[in-house]
Amino acid sequence: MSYLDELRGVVTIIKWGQKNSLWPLAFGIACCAIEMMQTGASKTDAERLGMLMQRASPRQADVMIVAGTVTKKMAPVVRRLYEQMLEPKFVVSMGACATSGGPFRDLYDVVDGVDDVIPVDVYVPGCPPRPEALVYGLMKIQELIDAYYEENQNKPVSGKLEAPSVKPSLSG
Amino acid sequence: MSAQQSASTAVQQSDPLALEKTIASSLKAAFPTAVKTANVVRRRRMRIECTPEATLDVLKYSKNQLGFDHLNYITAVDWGKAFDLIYNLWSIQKMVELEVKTKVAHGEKDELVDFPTSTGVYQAADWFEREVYDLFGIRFVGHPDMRRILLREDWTSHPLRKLYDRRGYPIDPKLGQPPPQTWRINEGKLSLPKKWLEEDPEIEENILTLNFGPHHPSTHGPMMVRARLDGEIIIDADVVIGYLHRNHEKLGENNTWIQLLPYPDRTNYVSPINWEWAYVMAVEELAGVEVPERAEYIRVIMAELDRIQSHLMYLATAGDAVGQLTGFVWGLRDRELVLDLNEMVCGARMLPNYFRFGGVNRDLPKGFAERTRQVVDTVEKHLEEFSYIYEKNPVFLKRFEGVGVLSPQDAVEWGAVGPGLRASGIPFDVRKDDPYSVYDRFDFDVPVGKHGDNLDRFMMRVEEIKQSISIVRQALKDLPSGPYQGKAPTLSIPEGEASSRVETPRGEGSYYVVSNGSPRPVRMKIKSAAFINVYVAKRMMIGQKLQDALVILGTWDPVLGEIDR
Repeated sequence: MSYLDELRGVVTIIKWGQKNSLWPLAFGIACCAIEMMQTGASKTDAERLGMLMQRASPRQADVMIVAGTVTKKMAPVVRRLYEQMLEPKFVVSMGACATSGGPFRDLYDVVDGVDDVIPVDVYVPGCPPRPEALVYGLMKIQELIDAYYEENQNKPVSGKLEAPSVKPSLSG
Repeated sequence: MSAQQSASTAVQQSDPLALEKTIASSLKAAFPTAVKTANVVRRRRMRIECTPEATLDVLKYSKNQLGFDHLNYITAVDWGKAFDLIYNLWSIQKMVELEVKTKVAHGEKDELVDFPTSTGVYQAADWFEREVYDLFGIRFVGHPDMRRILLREDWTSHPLRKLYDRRGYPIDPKLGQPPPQTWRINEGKLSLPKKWLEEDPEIEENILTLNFGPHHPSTHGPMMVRARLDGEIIIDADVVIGYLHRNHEKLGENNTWIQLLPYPDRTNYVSPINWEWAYVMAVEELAGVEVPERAEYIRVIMAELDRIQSHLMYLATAGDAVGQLTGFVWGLRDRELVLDLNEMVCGARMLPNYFRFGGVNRDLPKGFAERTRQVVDTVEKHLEEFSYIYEKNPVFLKRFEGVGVLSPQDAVEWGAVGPGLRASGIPFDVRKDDPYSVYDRFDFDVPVGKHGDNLDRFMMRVEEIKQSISIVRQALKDLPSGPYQGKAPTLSIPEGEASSRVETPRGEGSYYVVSNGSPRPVRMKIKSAAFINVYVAKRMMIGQKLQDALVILGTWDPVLGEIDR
């Protein structure tokens, strides 16, 4: 028996809650972190959309925003934080560096994209992306949350919520 | 200080290079065989070459007899068979810079080379030597804690040597080792400081080692502090940096000069324009480029606006550090105003990529002057509002007043720069002491603190915003017409070496570039102000309470992009 069976009627409410009060793990690494702070501050004010910024602990977070260049020294930490987050969890790769290494691609200490380390759901382009772009990316995450719960709701009764699988070829 | 300042200017009026020549000749006289050459490069800058054996004696003599009390940086250049090891010194009293250069031979393979440490002469050499060890493989014998600083500890190679390509692989596989290629959770374990290991390995019951970071909201980025606590007092601390080591210096050797223009923005992403200026100025000095007057004024305006927004960012994070979230939101709100001006001028809001060799990318747009005046008026008015939640707020004062006092002697000895050094009472500001561009035409003060505590360091930022506003107003008033871009080479830069000095919001920032006439630099060293300031913060944490340590770290305004480079 999955807990979903008992909570079938409640899932709609959980979905509604998670979707409309996204708590991102404020994972500022580099330049994008400054734009991420601006996203939470007065002009863009992502809190209007329920996106309460600045959760410092991965255990309270729904979505991880990887904002900046991931280096080989940082990659094990990123992986550890990802695994500390509770299911269901989503990852936004913010900016060119986290997406592909960006301007720092092909350098000795830079990981060419955070998707070598953890699975990514939404990529936000830009160097750095404007706050509006990040908000748009987070709204895409809301759509993914919808899809995620619908998919799991239609599963057979014995089904359980599964973690998004990590690509097998990864170095981790 | 001011008396000496006027005395030295009086000497220089008769012969502009008299002081520099005296110092160079006294070095030559003190070490007739060891000092091979002693040149005056330009005003306030000298370069000497000496033998490796005598380097320490030359450093000691320079510090004790000639008054070079401030170590700017230590770096190296790999020439294939030998390193140039470079010590850059600065005398706060005499306001001159001295570059001590020595040759250290190394083998073909990636093997460690030994060299005596200079930590006995300058305490600030501690982290600089660890950086050179990490990236070049020069092991400083006698250093108290010779560990890697920027790279992960399972690296076996030294990637800034010329035998490695930009990805860190040896060009000839026989000569070096490849970089680590995996990043599992437990890889790259950190080792403990040598001092901790030498002490009783059975840790006393009342001593706790507390790690915070690299993911922590108060470290201003990925930085890790390992504190040994006795109760809540920090008895020793180890700061681990390098989580954002993006290889700017290796990148510099693999791109053409003009391709490198966007990267200074990303070196320090909170004050990008000042860092652009540092890079552009170094290349201009190397190529002998004339900058038109209008371009100089535009640069001053943009750099001062940049300083305003960077200090507003500091006001925001200072609030964040003590739970004053109103200040955080207000600071970022006002910063938006300046970012809008950036957008107006060059299209990008945060990382503008605006400066070019010999000028700027484009002229100021219509209506810029009026808009800028409005913005600085607004910021000035808001500073008054800030004072009610900060320096007039008793709760805030409890955390800032009298906490984290840094004496002027320690500030100089540990190598502090920028507002933190000035807060301890030492009026060192590159814009005044070694004026670049047209800064000598503006009327502004260098604010100086009395006590060197957290509150003084905080107030330095507030005062500097006011001074910057005044400079912006003066520059807008005197803005001349004319071209905004002079003639400048784009691809090949003449052979030689040059360095620039710019007063960035965090202190003196500098680029040291070496060219061999090819389209790519041989070496591009970035002297980071925040790097050495974090070292100072680390020394200051010892003996403080845990909760104060984070506030002290915050008052140095660290930006990890600049620290790790």
